[in-house]
Amino acid sequence: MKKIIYLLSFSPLFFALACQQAPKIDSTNRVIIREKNDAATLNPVAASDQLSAYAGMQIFQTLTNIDFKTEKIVGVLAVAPPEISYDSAGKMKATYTLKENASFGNSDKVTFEDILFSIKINFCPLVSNSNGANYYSFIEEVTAKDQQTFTITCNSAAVLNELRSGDFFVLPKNQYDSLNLLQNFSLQRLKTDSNLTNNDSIILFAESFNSSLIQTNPSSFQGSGPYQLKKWQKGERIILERKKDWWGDQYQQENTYFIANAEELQFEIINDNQTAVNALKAGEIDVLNYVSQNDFEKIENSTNIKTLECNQHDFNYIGFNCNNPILKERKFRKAIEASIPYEKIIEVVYQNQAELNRLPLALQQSNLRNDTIVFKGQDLELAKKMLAELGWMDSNGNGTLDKMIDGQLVECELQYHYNSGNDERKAVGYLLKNELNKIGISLQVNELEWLTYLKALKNNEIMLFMCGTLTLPITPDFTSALHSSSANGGRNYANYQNYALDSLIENILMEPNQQLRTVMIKKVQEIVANDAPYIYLLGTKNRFAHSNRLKNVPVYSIRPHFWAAELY
Amino acid sequence: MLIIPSLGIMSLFVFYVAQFSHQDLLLQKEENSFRAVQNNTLQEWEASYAKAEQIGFHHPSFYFSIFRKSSSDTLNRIQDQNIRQNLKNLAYQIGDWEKVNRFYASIKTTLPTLTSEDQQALIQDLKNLNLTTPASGIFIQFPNLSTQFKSLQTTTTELNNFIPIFKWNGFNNQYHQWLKNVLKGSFGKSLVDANSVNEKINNAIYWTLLLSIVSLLITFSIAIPAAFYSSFNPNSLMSKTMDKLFFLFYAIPNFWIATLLIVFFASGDYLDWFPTYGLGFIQDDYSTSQKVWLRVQHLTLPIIALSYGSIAFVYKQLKNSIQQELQKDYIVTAKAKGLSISSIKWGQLFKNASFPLITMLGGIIPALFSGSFIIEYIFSIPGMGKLSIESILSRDFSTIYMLLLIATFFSMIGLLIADLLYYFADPRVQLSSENKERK
Repeated sequence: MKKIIYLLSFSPLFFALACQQAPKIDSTNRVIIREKNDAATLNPVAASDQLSAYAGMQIFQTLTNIDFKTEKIVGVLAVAPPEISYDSAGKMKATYTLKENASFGNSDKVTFEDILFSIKINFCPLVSNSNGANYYSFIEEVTAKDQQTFTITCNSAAVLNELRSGDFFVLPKNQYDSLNLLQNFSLQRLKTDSNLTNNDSIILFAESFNSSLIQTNPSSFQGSGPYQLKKWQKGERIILERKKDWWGDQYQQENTYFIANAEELQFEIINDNQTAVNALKAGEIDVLNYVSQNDFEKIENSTNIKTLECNQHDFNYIGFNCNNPILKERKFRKAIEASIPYEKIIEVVYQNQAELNRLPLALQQSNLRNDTIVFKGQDLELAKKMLAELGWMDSNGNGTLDKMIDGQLVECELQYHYNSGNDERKAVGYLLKNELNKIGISLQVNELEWLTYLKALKNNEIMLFMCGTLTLPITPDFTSALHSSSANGGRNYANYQNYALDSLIENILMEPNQQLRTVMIKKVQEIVANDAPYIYLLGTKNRFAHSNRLKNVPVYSIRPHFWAAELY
Repeated sequence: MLIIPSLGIMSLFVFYVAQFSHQDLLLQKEENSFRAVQNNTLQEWEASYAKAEQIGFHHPSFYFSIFRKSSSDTLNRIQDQNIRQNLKNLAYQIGDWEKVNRFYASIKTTLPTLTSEDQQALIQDLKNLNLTTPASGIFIQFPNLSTQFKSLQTTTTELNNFIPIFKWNGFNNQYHQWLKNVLKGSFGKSLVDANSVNEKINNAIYWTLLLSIVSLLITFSIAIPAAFYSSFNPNSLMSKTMDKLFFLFYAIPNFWIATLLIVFFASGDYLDWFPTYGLGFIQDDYSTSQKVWLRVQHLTLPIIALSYGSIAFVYKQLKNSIQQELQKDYIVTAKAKGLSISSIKWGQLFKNASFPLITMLGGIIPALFSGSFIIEYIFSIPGMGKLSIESILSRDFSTIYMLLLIATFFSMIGLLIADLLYYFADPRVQLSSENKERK
């Protein structure tokens, strides 16, 4: 016992020693970025989480990509965006020329062989490739003029193929397929032969490729990007170091993807948001993204922290299940539209960190937005009038409207669902409940676990819901949210079906003329505003904080809103 | 002796919960994907079958199956939830699985002959299949499929729904394979990132054990002397202060204390003595003492957050127990015999008053291995608690179930050790079988 007391007497000493100034990493040329969760891999071909994709983008490159600054397609490994032509069958041909000195970390030049291999990987069975086969299914053929110039033939004239044909990550073939296992499989065969899952070469390649994805050693991730893996401590941090004499240095003025100011990028895994805020205050990290409104207010006045806001490329909306006997009436949906407290949602729920956006396009795409559509704000009297016109009245005096439908008295009782953990959607639900209550509609607000929520949406089990869509500054593809083919089990959760709109959506994707496309896009907005299967509400802002140590921190509307390599 | 059947039941529970969650995982992977799946193609379909075979999902679930005569025990081989449910419903409605299966086989043989658009349409039709609606969509283009579907609509042998079938599947079943691997110490691969679950647990358990053991030592080394002091000096100012302080500690939740510790001692708002999170980054040129020091600095706050509640708990329990023992005759006798206070305390009193400690120890052993969810999460310590939370949030079922099984195993070990310690502390505590013999 005496020994224990003796030892305990030293505990204040231990405490005092441990209480010395916390260690601060010498981060002069290092940018330390907080991430909530670790990456599953650093190979972006198989990325299924934010960090895998983002850190992977610093190591590997695409042929072309959307520039953060200009929001236009720019050449990365390719000299420029593709030259587009069409064959006699109307199929798009995208011709790319590789930058002459583009090379991987091991100084091997990027060649057509690497391009073909990188496309093939997306179709190779058994390979973990994050649904690449589906995304790139439009690629029919890849033909080379020489090792630098090649043409990708698409299966249609879809305008989005201009971007998609060049947005795959290019991997060094010599590293990932040193045994040339994929060499003997044509792209066509990989796409169509359903027996390949039993092929020995495919099995061997897939095993080797998949095992490379989960390695943590630098040699497993050698790309053409400005950084290479230095250290990966699982669950703690990923450190990327800048390559010496990187081939892309001479293109620094060309676009964001060639800017690499930081000597090291360190992604620190901090799960808890509050701890991350404290780590930023303590100077242990440099960058904190996706800051919540509450935390943002807390750190706004900190002397060693700068805060920034930027508009996101998104739109958020309330959707109606158009298969529902009550909600299938257009006028009923319009009545709910008239009772939504738009200003209050922005002010109370989003604390003015959002902007009113009544169209299915990001606010940034001003040239495509149909500003001739007139949207009224909240008008409860109009909503009441519309409901009365539809025959909804409180016949039994219980405070809720009712109506005879198919010989039965139906009470006007609706249900709104949101996914658990999403406080904004929850608050919107309760605000809506209050407003609908004023016009005699009873709304029940329910919470569902994320997967159950998705499943219920797909199975048409939800009456009212709130969703958000992140977009890119390219021609909008309305197929998944508005096309009939996406209804009943797809992502058209409203089950909205309008065949005239379907052909318009299809034509937009096939129309090469920008002006004609814009006309059609505006027409789509008009039809959707009229039919109101979804009520578009707002576009959100992203909040971002960084330490004063960083002098150059541009933020962009495209996610993740900053280019890590650019910071210093 | 109850450990083995309990573990068996637990393993069955874990296995079957994992089984039911398998489909959700596929759904989740699709939703997490940066490139969303628009529609199913044959290749994607085949890939999901291949993935299911890799996981071993094509084998029967258990040593035996019991199912309706109208249905089949091989339905689990169909990967798409909607298609599986539709075929199951069809089989129940017409009462003839063979016929439904032939129809399904015909669709599978037709698929490779179609264009990718037609493949998507046919798969979509299959997902939306309903016996009450007439054959429509792409079915009409294939007389074979259309005829078979019409034939299904006219068949009704509902009696088969009421005839149970028992089938012995032998050892080549999913549960047997899973249990065999678990007993061999092979916990499989993470369903989210394909990393070995063993490796994940091995990496995490070190930090959890370190945190828990240090915390346990601190708890006992503070709480035991404090409880003795307070019991023997109940009216002292120190004792009264400790009573109040430990009561407060006992009442305050540890997530709040953890956050306060960070705010006051790490964030720089007040003091900047400790790092806010993690284990620190050990540079290549660090000496051993620098490495140890870095870890000490990083682990101090988490250990305090982990220990204060336990200290309060042990203090209160032990103090109550000591005070009860102090009333007993043997203490008076010992004092009358002239034994020193120290030998009474540690020779007799501590042994008899240690029951609450043993109870606590029984509960601590599983916690030693499963870690503290909240503390590890708040301080970003890559231990078992953080691994559990991350696995739950990312729905990494293979990892979650192994963590659950490990926690169950150590709970039982903890209870066993506690029973043995009770016996050693007080031999009057007998095993139940011995009690029965005496009766």
